[in-house]
Amino acid sequence: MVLLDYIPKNTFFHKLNTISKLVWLITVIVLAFLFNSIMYISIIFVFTLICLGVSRIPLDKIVQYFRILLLPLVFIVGYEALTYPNGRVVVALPYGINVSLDGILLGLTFAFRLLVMVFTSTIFTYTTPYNRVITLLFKLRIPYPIIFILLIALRYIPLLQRELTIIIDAQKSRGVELEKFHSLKQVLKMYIPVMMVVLINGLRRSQQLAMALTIRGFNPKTKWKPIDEECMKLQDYLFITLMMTILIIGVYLYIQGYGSRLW
Amino acid sequence: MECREATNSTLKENGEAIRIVNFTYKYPGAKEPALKNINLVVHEGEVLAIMGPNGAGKTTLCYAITGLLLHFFGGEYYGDIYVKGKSVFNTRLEELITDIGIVFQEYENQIIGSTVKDDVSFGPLNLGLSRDEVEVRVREALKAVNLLGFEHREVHTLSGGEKQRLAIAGVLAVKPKIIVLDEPFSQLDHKGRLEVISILEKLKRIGHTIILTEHRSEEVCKLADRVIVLYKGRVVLNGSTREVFSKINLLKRYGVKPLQVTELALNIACRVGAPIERLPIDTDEVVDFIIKLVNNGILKFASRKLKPHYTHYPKTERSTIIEVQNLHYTYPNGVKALNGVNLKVYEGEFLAIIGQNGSGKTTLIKHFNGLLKPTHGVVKVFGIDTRKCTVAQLSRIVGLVFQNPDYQLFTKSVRDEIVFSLKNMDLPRSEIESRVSKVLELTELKGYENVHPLLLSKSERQKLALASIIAMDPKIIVVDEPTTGQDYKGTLHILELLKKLNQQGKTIIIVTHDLNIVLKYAHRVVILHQGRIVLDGPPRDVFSKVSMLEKLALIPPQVVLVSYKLSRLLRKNNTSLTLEEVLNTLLDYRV
Repeated sequence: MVLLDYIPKNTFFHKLNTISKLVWLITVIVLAFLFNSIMYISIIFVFTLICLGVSRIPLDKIVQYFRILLLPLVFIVGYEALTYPNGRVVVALPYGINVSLDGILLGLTFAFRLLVMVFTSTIFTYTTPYNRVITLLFKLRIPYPIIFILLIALRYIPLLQRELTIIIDAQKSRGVELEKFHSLKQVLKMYIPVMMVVLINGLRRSQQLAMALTIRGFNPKTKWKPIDEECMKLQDYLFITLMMTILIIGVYLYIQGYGSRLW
Repeated sequence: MECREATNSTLKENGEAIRIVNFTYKYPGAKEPALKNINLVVHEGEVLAIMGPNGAGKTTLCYAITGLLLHFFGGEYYGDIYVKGKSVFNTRLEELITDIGIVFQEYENQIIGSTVKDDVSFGPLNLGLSRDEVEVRVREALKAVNLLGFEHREVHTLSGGEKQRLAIAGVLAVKPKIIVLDEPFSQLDHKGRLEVISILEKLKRIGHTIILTEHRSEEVCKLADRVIVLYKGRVVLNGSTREVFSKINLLKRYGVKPLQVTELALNIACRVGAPIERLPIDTDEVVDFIIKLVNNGILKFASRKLKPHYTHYPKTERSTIIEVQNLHYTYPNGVKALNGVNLKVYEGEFLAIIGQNGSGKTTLIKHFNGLLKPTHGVVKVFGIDTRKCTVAQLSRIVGLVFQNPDYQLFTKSVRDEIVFSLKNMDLPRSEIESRVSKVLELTELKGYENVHPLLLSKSERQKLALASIIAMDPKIIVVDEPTTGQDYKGTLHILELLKKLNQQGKTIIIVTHDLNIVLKYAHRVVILHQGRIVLDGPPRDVFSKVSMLEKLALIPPQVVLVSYKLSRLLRKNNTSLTLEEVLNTLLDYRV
């Protein structure tokens, strides 16, 4: 659960107001989508990498995400390289298949765009504690029942994860070979009992939860407000101004036709 | 204790917090009422303990008092329950919550926020209070449960005791004057229990009325002004704590564990024919009682060489079946659970692993069947390195039973549950049949073959979890906390079963907080502390180191404490472990 990935540190991004961070996130992603040019995208990508450094996200987390994304990235670049129509040919393969330079460039643009999105949202979640996100949702006037569902989900996900581990451990201890390779059918057959246990315990818990909510005065119609308030500081105003300026310049350049060509 | 009894009379002058009048309740679809004709008055400022075996109706009574019962379960009722003069059946729940709050047995389920402050502020925010007022209430509630400074901690990083205290704080923040706690100690270690006891004492001092259900007699005696015993839905005993605990035979009949100190005092009084005005209910009282008899020349304390506690301890050359060498384990989140454990488990022994929560007990036993593989060091089972085989392979040699049976039962019937393990072993059908019937017989679950596991009682479910492991016929059976949530009789059943298996040649390893059962059943005790073994030896050696145990927050059974205190007072050097031993050393040289 990404919202639970917050790591407390004392960096510039940690100190920023959530709204400032949201503005930054939107600016970077919008810019990444506006331009097609590999040069422009590379600049945005480098900027994202700098932000990653500033926010001191642990390297192993970045490597972990990168590893998950590697296959889709290679696929995107490869697919575009082979299917780009009428591009400049780099290598001609048999059966009329050509590897095109334009295709590679387009593929790289897509790849960088994906990485920018993943890394910026990583920075957002790693530097923002979940209650700040809740406060943000409240400020964005999201209705309380929805915020409440999120609150409960956040509370219960670690619990469910722990439960799932216990159940799977119990299954393994009863001789179920979970470590071996299985067909999808076998996997499903093995996980059905696990899910049943989770479900039954979940139902029992939900009844207790309903009682717990009652004794603590829960009412979906209450005018709920978060307990912590976040204030905007000078650096937030400056940062938002900077981001808005960059965004406006970006949009202006886009309208003028800059960065629309691949190279 | 005297001051507590003095307060009893003044309590009666206080107002009534709760009055239950001829209350009978039946769950929807049930044949028998769960509560029968209950009449009870709880005074303001009183601490009332509700005791009784599992299924006696304790939790139902808690839900009834708090008004949750009809609202959430429906069913039929007669009679009435008044909280501060208001009938719970004619009052809206929103109005009741500022009078009475409840902490559930599974307290984790009632924590709603992901951080401590979020959780405690949930109630006050729902009441529509201003932010400043909410802050004040959060601070007050956290102060009451000694959690100030924990505001921004995430709930899943708290220990069991801390979570229990957080659940109490969440209820306190709504400011009810009456607090109901359903088995508050069942999932805590000794340290956690002491913390919660001191908090409840504090709440009592500031005028709260406290009602708690509990199996643990020692804790009840520390806290309660009055005890009622429920049995099959009826109140069978009702009186001051001392009155109720002096009725040892009745307590046993109703499945409540009597206090060792009371039994000891009663035994001594009978044997020497000394009159006894007030039966002692804690260790200091019984020590005073004995010292008085010694000083009056009625008793003499004898210094005798005590025999080893266990005569049937395997004496022959034993082979090592589990060997743990310099085991370190670090969880993926960086928590170091084990820091260099060295241990040999011998064939045929009954080993108990004890230690506080978080000392690494469960982590250690999960290495025995390969669920966890060492970060550093080696674990060998019958000479095989656990890193070189799967859990499924090891599960045929090492059977591991987990703490909560609810996570281990997957199937639709008791029979299927046992067959489940056997099917994984690819056994022929005839072999499966014979094993199932053998195991059903052994665990006394015969006749329940087609019952759904969820319909069994807690102790039967625990037995079934054990049965499904026994069926696999492993040489080693490891059981994590076999007694959590079990009542007195349930605990005895399970331990007797393990003893029987041990006598049949199985090696038994248990992890437990209950030192009484360690003393009664184990051949050898290993104490873990901060991921290391700090003591390892037969119960007599380990339990005689009382001051060391206390440092590790492990409190030995009452009899051991009494014997320890006596031997220090009388400058004799031996610690008796059982009631019989204490009696022997005391009565040997009767004047």
